[in-house]
Amino acid sequence: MGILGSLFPLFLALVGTPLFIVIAASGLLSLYMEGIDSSALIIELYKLAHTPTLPAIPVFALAGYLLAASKAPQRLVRLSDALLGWLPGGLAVIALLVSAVFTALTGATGLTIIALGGLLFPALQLQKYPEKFSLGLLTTSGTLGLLFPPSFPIILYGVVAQINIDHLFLAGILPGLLMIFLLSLYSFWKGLQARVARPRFSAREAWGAFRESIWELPLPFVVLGGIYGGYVAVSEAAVLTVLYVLIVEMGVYRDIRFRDLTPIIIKSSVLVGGILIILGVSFGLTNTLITEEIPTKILDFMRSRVESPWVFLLWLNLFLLAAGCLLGMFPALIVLVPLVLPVAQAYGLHPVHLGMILLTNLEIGASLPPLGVNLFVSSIRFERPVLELYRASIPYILILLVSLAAITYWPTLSLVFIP
Amino acid sequence: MPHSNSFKTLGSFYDRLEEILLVSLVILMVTLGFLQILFRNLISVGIVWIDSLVRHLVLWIALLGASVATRENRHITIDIISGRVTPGNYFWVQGAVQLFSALVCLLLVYPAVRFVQNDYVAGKTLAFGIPLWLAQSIMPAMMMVMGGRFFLQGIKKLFSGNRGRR
Repeated sequence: MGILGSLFPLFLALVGTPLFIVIAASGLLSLYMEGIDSSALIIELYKLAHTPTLPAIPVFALAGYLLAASKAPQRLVRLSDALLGWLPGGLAVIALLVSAVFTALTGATGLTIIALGGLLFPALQLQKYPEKFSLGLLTTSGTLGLLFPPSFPIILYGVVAQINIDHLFLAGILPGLLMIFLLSLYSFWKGLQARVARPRFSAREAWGAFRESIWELPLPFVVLGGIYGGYVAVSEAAVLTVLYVLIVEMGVYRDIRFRDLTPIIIKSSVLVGGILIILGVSFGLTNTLITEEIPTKILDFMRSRVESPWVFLLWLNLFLLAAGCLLGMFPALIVLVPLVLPVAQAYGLHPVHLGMILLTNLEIGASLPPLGVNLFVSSIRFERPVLELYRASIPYILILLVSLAAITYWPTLSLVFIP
Repeated sequence: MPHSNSFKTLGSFYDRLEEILLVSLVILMVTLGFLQILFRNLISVGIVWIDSLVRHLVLWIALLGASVATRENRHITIDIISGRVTPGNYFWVQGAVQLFSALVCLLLVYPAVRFVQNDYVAGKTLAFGIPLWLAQSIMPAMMMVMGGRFFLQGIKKLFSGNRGRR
């Protein structure tokens, strides 16, 4: 296609053309130039109807939107407050844990900051946490649980890279915990330093909070128990999750009424449709990339300059951070995986390990100035100028970069549970 | 003008229809998934047609969802420069982008129709005698709808943009 062929889509994307149009247009263009019938693009789009595990995506997304619309976040915060609130920096650690659980269930779609921010920010201020600390904490926590099952980006990576999703779910656990652990240490330290309020532990409150959220606590076991117990496949676990959430939130807690259901389903389907249509037109892109031998060209280019896999990983991380910040999570996943995967494998990277590196980068990229999406969601949610959030996120980004280094250069962390 | 009013009513009637279809299909998908789990675990029989039906539902939900996203202007974009152009030019850029998007969608209608025709000739069925070509015809249909929506929105943007500047 040459220079014109790659600059044209770039220009289209930069003027704000919907991404699926950009990809479809460049697909049509390259098919035309190669003299292939344009129905090839439709054949690829039709892959949406025969890709296994894909049905899990709309169903898990629905479960996430249902949870976000219920009072589950309030109950979760109350319970963890009762259990951990007495620790120095306890509330900050709670914010980290709750955000991580919530992001895993709702799939890093910006819902975490919107649903939890309004609860946690006033609570943090009440306990006299410095404002800058709280803002940075909640902004960077917006994508924190990304590596935990059943997060939507993990499934998407599995679909695009054609890797067993069960393995990816297992791989994310230790890297995800590492990030929470390091951020918790920082929160302890800041909590001690700022002499924040430390409410005393009350067994009565803990019991009350436990009883209140008793129906939601089994949720992770519904999701994971089914899959690893060997009873259900990933897409079936999604169905069980949605049914469980429906019964609990509509039947037991009555947070969601029947007439709320239609707008929730439409909202989650718009999100899913927006992502899957990009995926659908990108199936064709993968083929174009391969026939144009673009991964091979990149590989030759890299090979002639970078020999050691260590240096390669450094460049890979820089590239992916920029991609996460500029492109956004889902487009980066769909568009970059077919490019990066063959190159990384040539440098001896395990595809599951690459997945963890990629997802961690996109997670951090989402909070990275100038364009990380978390910064903008936070800016709207907390009514603060974006510049203030840039400054507030810096310490958290540095800590997350330390975890990224560990995840990148210590493959065992990701691969220890993989058979 | 009564003429444009009835046009509007027709549009909102279609919007409603699309939403009802989308919601029903999501509910159907969850129900079918649950049935499959029941059959597999209680009487250890997997039902083959459920899987292929559910996968086609993914295609329908994706395209209908994308179509609603077109209506609500909520497609995923890389928004780098839109905040940096003056409002007058911005309308112009947005209008042009939407007309271009309309063109791409409409260019995809014809190949999609031919794709469906192929299976129409082959005469395969999905389940319950639902012909496969019918399940596939959501592709040309939604490309058409999205193309139309992009076109109308683009025209509207250009028109109101011009009026705004005068």
